[in-house]
Amino acid sequence: MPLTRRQFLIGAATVGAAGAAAGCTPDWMAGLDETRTPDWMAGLDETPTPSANPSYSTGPIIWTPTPPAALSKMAAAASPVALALVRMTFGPRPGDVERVEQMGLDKYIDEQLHPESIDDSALDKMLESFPSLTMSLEALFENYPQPRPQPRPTPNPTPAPNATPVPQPTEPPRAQRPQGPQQIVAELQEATLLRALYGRRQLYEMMVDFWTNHFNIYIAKDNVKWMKTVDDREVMRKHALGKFKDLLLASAQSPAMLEYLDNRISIKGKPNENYAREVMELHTLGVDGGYTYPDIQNVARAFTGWTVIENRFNPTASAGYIFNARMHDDDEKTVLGVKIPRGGGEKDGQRVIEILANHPSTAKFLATKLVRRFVSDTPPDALVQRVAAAYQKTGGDIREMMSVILRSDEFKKSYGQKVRRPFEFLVSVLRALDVQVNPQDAEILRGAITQLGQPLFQWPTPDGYPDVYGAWINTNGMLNRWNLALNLLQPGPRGVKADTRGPTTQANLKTAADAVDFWISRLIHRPMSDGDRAQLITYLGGSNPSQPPITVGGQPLTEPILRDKLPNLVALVLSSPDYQYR
Amino acid sequence: MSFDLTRRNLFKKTGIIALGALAWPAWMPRIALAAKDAPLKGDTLVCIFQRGGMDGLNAVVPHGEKAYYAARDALAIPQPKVGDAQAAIDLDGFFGLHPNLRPFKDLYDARALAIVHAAGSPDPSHSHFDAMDYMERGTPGEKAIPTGWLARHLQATASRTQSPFRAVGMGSMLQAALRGPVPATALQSIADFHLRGGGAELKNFQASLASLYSGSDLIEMEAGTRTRRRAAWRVANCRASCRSSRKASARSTRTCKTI
Repeated sequence: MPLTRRQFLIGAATVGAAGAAAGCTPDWMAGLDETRTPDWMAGLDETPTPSANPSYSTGPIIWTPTPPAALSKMAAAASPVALALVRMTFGPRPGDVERVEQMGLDKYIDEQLHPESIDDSALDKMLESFPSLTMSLEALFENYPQPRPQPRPTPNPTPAPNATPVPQPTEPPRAQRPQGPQQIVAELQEATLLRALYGRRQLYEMMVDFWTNHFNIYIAKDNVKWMKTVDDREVMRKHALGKFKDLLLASAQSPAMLEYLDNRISIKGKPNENYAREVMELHTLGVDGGYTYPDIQNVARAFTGWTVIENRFNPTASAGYIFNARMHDDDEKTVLGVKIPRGGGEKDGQRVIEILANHPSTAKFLATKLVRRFVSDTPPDALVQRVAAAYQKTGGDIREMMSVILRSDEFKKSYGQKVRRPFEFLVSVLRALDVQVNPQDAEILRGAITQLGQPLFQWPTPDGYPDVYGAWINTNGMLNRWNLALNLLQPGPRGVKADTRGPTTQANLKTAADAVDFWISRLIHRPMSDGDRAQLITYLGGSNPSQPPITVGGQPLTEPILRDKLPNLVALVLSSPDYQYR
Repeated sequence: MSFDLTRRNLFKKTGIIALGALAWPAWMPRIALAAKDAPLKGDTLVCIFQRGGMDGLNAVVPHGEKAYYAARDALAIPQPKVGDAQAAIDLDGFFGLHPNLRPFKDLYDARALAIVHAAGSPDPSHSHFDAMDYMERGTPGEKAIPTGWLARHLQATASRTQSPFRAVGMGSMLQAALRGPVPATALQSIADFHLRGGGAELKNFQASLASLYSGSDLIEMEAGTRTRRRAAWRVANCRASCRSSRKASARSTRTCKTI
C-alpha cells in the first residue's frame, strides 16, 4: 500500500507512524558502554512476569497508523525502470533511466547482482586519497595514534540565554582535518559517501549499507574508531552479496564487533551476554524467533574466549581476532535444543553460528528486513515467504534472495511505499544533479549528512538506523532537507554546488513550463500533479505566487529567471513531497 | 534561586539550552492567535528520558540503609557529612542526593521537587531495546499498542489547542513516547528551526513550498486536515530570527518535551 500525500503530510508536519525503533539522537547517547544493561541485571529472577503485572488500561485511545490509501495526487506511477533505479541504487543519474530502458531491466539487475563484473576503477582511483581504507588493523593503530590532549580554551559551547542567536552562514568553514583515529573515521565516512555517489556497483553499495545497519557498530566506542574500517572492508564489503553464514562468522570474529558488544572481555565463569543477546535478537532469529534466556546464557558461554590480540605497539590497543582457550568455557551447552558436547573449544562458537544461520527464524527475519528495505515499510507476506524459501534452498545465499526480490511483482508494483532516508536523500540529490565532489571536499558531505540526522556509523545502539518512514519524516527532518536543497543550489565561492543553468540551456528549452517539465522529469521521473506543476510554473515565470498561475506557462526563460529563480525551482522540486519517495 | 533559573541551568547541563528557556521563533504567536478561543493555561511538562538508564540508588542515596553500603561497597556514596564534598546531601534523614545533584537540594527544600524512587518497568525483558520501547510506550510486555504514553496522555487530555507545538520532542527524530494521533513536533533546536538561503527569493520559495505541502487536493479533506495544512504552512513559512521571540512567554503554549 502506497503512502499517500496526505499520509506523508501527516508525517511531515506532525507525527510519524509507529513501528519504528525508538527515535533518539545519537549525540546525546555518546558513551555507549554506559547505555548497555549492566551485567548484574542479567539474572534478576525476582522480577515479576508480565502476566503478573498490574493491568494498565489504554482505554479507548488505541491508535493504529492510518493504512495508506491510494496515491490520489500522484499523476502517474514511475516506469518500472525508474522505480527499480530509485530502489536498488542511491538514485538515478541523468541518462540512467534511458540507458537501462535500452539494455533491459533484467539485464541491469543481473549486472548489479554481479558487482565483480562491473568496472569501478575510476572510483578506486578516487579513493586512493584515503590511505587508511586499505591498512591492516596493526598499521591503523600504529599510524593514527591518539593525539596528546592539547590545553583548550575554556569551553563555552552554549550561548548565554539572552544572547541573540545569529543564523549561521550556510557555508561550513574549512575545518582542520581531524587528528588521530578521528581521521580514520572521517576517511571511512567520506569514502562511504563517495562510493554511494560515484560507485557503479550501486546495488552492492546498497547492500553494504544494509548489512552495516544490520550488524550495526557504533564507531565512537573506545577502540572501534580504529577497527570499523577493517570491519567495513573484511565483513560488510567482502560478504555483502555472499553467503549469510560467512557474513555472520566474519562479523562474530570482527575486532570491531568484539569490542562493540563486549565479547572481547567475555570469559569462562563470567560470560558477557551482550553479543549473545544481540546476535540472536538482531542478527539472526529476531526477538520472537523462538529463543529463551538459557539460550542467551549458553550462546554467551560458547563464545567465551573469542577475543582480540593485544597490540604490541600499544598495550591499550588491540589487533585481530584470536581464540583464547584459557578464557573459554569448555563444558557442555545446549543451544536452541541442540547439544554442543564439552571440549569443543573454538568450534563451540562456530557451531552456534551454524545453528543460527540454518534456523528457519533467521530465514524469515532476514527476508522480512530485506523486503522492508527494498519493497515496502509493510513487507508483503507472500514475498517474504518466497525470499525466506530462497534462503533455505540456497544455503543462505544473499544474491539469490535479492534476485527473488528484484524480479518480483511485489517489487514492480510498490511505488510510493518507501521514503528516502537522509543518506539516500543526500546522495540521490547529488547524483540527480550530477554534482562533482572532490575527495578533498567530501568533508562537506559528512557535515551535510550529520545535519540531516543520519551521521554514518554513529547510530549508538546495535539495531541500526530505522527503516520505516515514520522514524524519519517529521518537521525537523523535512526542514533539514529543504535547507540542504536550498543551500546546495545557491551560488557560492566554494564547496559542493550544483549547476542548473547548464542542463537547462543545453536542453534548448524555451519557456518556464518547459523548464519545469524538464526538471520534474529529471528529478522525479514521472509527472507531478497539475496543481503542483502549475505552482512551479508560476514560481519560475511569475513574481507573485499568490496570483493565479498563467495557464500556458509560456513565459520565456529570461536571464533573471535563469539566474535568480531556476536554482530555487530545482530546490523546490527536491523539497516536494514527491521527491521524498523512493 | 527561582525555579525558572534553575530549570534553565538544568537545560544547560543536559544540553537542551537551545530551547532558550522555552522561547519560540517569531512566527509562533500565530498559533496562539489561532487558538484564541481556547486560552492556553497550565503547566509545561518536561520529560527527560535517560536512555542509558540511571543508577537511582546513587542518584538518590538511601544513606540510612546498612544493606546499601554492604551491597555497594566501594561504589556507595558516603553518608552525609558536613564539609565532605563527596558525601551524600541529606534530604530527610534516610535518603540523600548524589553530591553532583546539589542544585536539586534547594528545589527539594522549597517543596518544588518530588522524587518517585525505585519505580520501573515490571517487564523482565533482557533486550535493552524492548525495555526502552516498553517504557516509551508505557506498555510493558505488550507490543501491539503503537502509541507512546505521552501521545496517549495528549489524547486523553483533550484540548482545543491542536497546535503541533503542543508537544515537542528534542531530537532529529520524534520519540516513540510522542508517536500517536495527536500532532507533535521533533526539533533539534529552535535556532536551527528556519529556512535558510534562497536569497531575495526566499519568501516566494516559502509560499511555493507551502503550496506543495498543502496543495489544492488536500483542502476538501476530512476534519482535522485543516490543522495539518496550517501546520505545514507554518513550517514552510518559518522565518529566521528567534530574536524577538525570546520574550515569548513560556506559558503561552502547553508543551511536553522529552529527550
